[in-house]
Amino acid sequence: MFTQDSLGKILKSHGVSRRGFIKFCSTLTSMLALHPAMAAKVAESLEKVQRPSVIWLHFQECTGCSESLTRSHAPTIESLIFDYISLDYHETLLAAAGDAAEKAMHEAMQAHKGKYLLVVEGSIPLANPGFSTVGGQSNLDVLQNVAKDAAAVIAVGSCASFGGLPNADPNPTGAVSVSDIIKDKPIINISGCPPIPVVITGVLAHFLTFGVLPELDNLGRPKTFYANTIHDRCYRRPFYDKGLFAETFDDEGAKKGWCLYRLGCKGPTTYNACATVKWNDQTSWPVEAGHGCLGCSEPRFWDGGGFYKALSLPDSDVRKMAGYAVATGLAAGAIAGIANKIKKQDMLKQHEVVSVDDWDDKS
Amino acid sequence: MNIDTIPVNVEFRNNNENIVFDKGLNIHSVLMEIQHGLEILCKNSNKTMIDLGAIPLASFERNQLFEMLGQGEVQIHLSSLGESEIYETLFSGVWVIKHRDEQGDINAMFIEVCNIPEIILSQQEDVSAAVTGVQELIDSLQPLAKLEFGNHQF
Repeated sequence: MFTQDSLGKILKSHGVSRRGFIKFCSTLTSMLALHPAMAAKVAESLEKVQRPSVIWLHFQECTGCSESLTRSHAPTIESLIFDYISLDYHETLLAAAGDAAEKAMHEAMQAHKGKYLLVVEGSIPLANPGFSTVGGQSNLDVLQNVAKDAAAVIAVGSCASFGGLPNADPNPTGAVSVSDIIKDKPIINISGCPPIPVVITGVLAHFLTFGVLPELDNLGRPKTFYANTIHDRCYRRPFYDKGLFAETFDDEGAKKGWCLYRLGCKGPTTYNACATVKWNDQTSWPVEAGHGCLGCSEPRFWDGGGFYKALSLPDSDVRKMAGYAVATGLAAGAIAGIANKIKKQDMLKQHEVVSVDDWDDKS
Repeated sequence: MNIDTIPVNVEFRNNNENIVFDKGLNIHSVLMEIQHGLEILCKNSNKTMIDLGAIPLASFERNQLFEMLGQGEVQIHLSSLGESEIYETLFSGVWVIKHRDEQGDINAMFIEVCNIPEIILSQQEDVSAAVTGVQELIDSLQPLAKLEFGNHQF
């Protein structure tokens, strides 16, 4: 999975001082959500690591995940990571085309057989192999062929992780996720529509730093970035705790930055790192911009019952539940969490399935 | 339309334009952590590092935290893999570290409660390289007799 020179050696050859290396490691430690004191350990480990070979495939998707990564103003951390992994095949970024591109992929697969990392962007259509092909091969064939000799597979974005938008009702292409097909390789899901660029590079950096894939949650996502809900890490959380909610997007509550719970924010049931890592070089994120979380890193978020429909209960009920919680010795958050989960499941059940025939009937 | 014209006001200032924060809000937690770090530093000289990227703070809250902490006597400029801004706040032992990349974008922000941030110290590996570097400089000097200054030979 690795090519010759260690990262420490490469950085030195680029004239990066030890102080610069420590700065790089501090930034990386922050990115990996490790304790800042771990920077020295990260530095020690990174000094020795070698570049992994990466093959990046595109299936049924919008390329938004690659766009997310490449339009992150190429900050040093990302560019360093991409300078120091060997990105041997990426259909969007590849200079070569046609047979030359296919040759590059096969050469990388042979040279690093059993050791390369496979990154997949997009879902795989099973209803008809002709719905999405590359070089005359169906997505299913390409995935099975390239995954066969990979060390691990990284599913980038909600499409590759859970089927995503193509999988939304009525799922006309029969779209499925990577983990629905590949059963004999370690798979890591980096969900989000698109995922946060730092989360994509963070997983690669984790692998680079520690030589193993990070610990995963029950949906195969790295706990480093997906262990907490948006709601738990939201800077507006204190307003929720006080029962202060915006009721419309232009009321006094909205202007004062109160909680967006009642405006349909899916933060309470969404696990992601937007609230701390943020977007556009830590400039902001949807909730800070005044819009509720859509829950894009969760399975079937498109079918979750409407982006502006409140998931949870009014604050009076939250308070009532908190009272019950105290009485029963349970955390109010846990009670509200259970209520939210039930409501989310109900919404998924009630969701109206719209077929092409329905549209024809209405028109 | 300029972003400043969007009528959203989530700053907390009183009529005298002083920053006012409710005790239950996020800045209160960070200040408590800084206070705890200072107590540890006084007690056993151990340092505390707070990664501001890992704490749920809105951008305006982060900026107002910096405003509240102010700038003290020492400001340091580090140029390595982009510029870094390091300064002691008005509160001795409380340092702000902002790492920028080569494009000027902030990659990481820390509050370090310590006597001097570790990144400021000369690193042993660089010092070892400096020994070789200075030696090479000495070796590169011309023997005195061969030096020429204008029309004068020495």
